[in-house]
Amino acid sequence: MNTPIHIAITGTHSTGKTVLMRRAEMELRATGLRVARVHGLGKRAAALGLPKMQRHTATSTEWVIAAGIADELAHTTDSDVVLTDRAPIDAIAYYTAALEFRGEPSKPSTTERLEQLVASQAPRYELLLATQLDPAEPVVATHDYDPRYRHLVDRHIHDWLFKTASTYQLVTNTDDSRDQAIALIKRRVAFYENSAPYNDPQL
Amino acid sequence: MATPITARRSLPLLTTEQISGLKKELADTIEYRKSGLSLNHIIGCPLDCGYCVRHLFDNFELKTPRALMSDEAAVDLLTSHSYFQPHITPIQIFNRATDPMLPVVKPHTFNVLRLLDERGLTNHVLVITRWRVDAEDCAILNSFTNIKLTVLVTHSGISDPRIEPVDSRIAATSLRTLYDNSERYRTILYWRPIVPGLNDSDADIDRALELSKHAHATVFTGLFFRDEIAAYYASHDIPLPYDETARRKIMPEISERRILERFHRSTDSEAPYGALFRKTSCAVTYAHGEADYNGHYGIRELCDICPMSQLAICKAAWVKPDLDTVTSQARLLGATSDPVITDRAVIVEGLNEPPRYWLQHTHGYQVHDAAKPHHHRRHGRADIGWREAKEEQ
Repeated sequence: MNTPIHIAITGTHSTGKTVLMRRAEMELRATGLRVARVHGLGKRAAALGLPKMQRHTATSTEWVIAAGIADELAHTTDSDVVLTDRAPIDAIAYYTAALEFRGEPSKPSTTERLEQLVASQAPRYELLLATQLDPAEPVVATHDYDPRYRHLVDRHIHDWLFKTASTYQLVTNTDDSRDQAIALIKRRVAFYENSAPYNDPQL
Repeated sequence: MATPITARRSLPLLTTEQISGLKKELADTIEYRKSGLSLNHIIGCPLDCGYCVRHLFDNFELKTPRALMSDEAAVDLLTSHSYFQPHITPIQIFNRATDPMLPVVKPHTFNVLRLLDERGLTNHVLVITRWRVDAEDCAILNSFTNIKLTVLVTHSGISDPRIEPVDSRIAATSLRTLYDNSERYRTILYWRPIVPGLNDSDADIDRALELSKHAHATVFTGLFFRDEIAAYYASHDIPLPYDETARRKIMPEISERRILERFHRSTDSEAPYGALFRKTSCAVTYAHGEADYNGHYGIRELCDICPMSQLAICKAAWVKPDLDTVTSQARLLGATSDPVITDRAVIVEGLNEPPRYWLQHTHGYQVHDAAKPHHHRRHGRADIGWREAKEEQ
């Protein structure tokens, strides 16, 4: 059994993460690779009655991080590539942005524990992509988002990336930037595939 | 440049047990469709096009391509099929369950084309893709000396990623590459599915008109909106384009009229709509300078947009078949009554699509089922979106 390569994307909502990861998924599957895309944690959290977006709590944040980890690990045996649509750092950024949005102070011990949980996952990712909010791009009309919170999340994500000196590929709101991101994903997977021991996939 | 991912990866063959678990239609490698005998021994596609016919075969969730058999076995099966006629039967490769130009499928596409070509067959072969085609691919496609090869590039221009997650620029680039490098094969802009409100704005039509300059011919068609596809739309919160589903493609009258008005070239009496066609086989045969193998010339209202030169070719080739011959063939195929031949078509009873297509391709003359009549100006189309249909009801 091979260990799948993990690639994740982070970014505030409506910045093209899902479309990009769906395209990456199609590109990789087109080469015969088995690809899993981990996504939809927000909907599942809401279904459990957990608060989301600007109402996030420490508990909802911890659930999102833990559920994301579990989802990724669940694909260890059936996938060559795992694409994570929302890296764990999203959860902490959404939480700290929610606190700022609500004007609530953070409790250092709680925040530190969540940060450690997120930081512990970083080595898993062979590649991290980060979208950047384009203020000129209107939000899709069907999305009922608070624009201030969306901007806060964008800032908290990029603050975290800076603070932790993370290595990542920035994806801006242009076709060229998205094309480069897809090309980078394909190159990184090709390098990983060609350097790792390979067995025919078990069907 | 990175080593291609495909370098160490081959397409696994499904086991007999796995094949037995597939929907029967999907496990059937060969299907006779209107545009030809269709070979589909590779199944599974990662391209999540919301309108794909894979929904009809319970195949949409099979994302990574898999092979049902070897290319050699598949070509043997095709050429020994009871409906296959050398040099006559049009062939389609991988047009139902995968895309023939996916990196992992492409070597098999080329291999099948080579196997057919090496047998000296001169049949039309249709390859339909929306994926990447580069100059090296074109060189291979040009290398076949016997088959009449046409590469159709599907381009919808739909911008809603829930319906069309594949970047339309990929198909547009492939079309230009194919056209620029074409020597022996021909390439066609397959502009579909056209859905009112999604991709029929003036800007959409202008874009298709521009793209059509990079193709030997252009076909425009509507949407297959069957129950399975409607269910997919509903489950993904995609607005339903029509209130009802239909067996045939839906191509509303008003969309067609706007497209024709935009493509119309008032100063070109020889080709007033350029190389624009309603039917796939009309475009394919036009691109090769031949008469339509489906005999659409009998449905004369379909021809009102055709170039004059093509009309002359189709007119010369279009001959009403001999009634005794057709009657004996229809009986052998299982017709429940003797056929009637009109100035438009052979009308049969009790024959499903494959034997009807065999008759149609054998004679180059339309063959219709008496139980499923085609209405005037709506040949092969659903009644949805046509005023006359409402008035008839």
